[in-house]
Amino acid sequence: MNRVLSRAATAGTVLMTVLVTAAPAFAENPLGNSEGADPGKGLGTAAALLLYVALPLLSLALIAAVVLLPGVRAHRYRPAKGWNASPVWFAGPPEPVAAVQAAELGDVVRGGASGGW
Amino acid sequence: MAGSKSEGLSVAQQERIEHAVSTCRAQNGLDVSVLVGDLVLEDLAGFRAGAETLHAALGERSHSAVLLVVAPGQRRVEVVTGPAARRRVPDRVAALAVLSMTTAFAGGDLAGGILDGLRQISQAAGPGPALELPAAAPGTEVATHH
Repeated sequence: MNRVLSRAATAGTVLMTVLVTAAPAFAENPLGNSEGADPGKGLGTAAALLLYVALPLLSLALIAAVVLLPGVRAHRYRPAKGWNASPVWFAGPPEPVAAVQAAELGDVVRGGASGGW
Repeated sequence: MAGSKSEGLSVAQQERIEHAVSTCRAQNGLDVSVLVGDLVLEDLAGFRAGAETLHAALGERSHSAVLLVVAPGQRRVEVVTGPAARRRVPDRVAALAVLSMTTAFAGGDLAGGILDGLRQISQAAGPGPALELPAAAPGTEVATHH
């Protein structure tokens, strides 16, 4: 219970600090504008939406696209998903299928290594 | 895309592997060959034997050839060396190459793993007189009945 209270107090303090320090920005000048201050026309709703909602969303989407798109296009191998592409033999025999059918192991001792993942 | 099987190697990846293979043949004079694809086997226990048959299919070359068999679906990799190639690429080197390949494959990097393995094997073999390319263009797609 104490923790909840102290958290609420902290949150309240932070909120009040923000509001109090921001107070001058909200204050109306009771003497009217002076010393050359000319606030000009306010921002319309459409323009405000464009500036503060549409543009940030657009830049967010742009950055996300730049980051994610190359990964979508890449041929990624997923070990758990199997493989159904036809085999490719680099620097293999000219007629792979015939060569494999005609292959004779002979009594040659071959070396190498095996592995799995 | 979800649920579908992994696609094959992209054209760019195939080109990189072809380039690595031909570099190894030209600069190290080592007859390397890489097969990427699952083997038609009844039992995975026969994988080594299947890979040796593929090595034998290289014909006269097989004596001094190194064959890498990478089966992405069966998750097996095999390095097969002929008797003459074994002197340049000892089993210990092949085992290290297999280790770095399986690490990359498990992380989903198929082409990168193959390139790593080729690099290790050609470094171990050292420089040598250039080999002619075999008659077939590298990267032949093998027609099999799936």
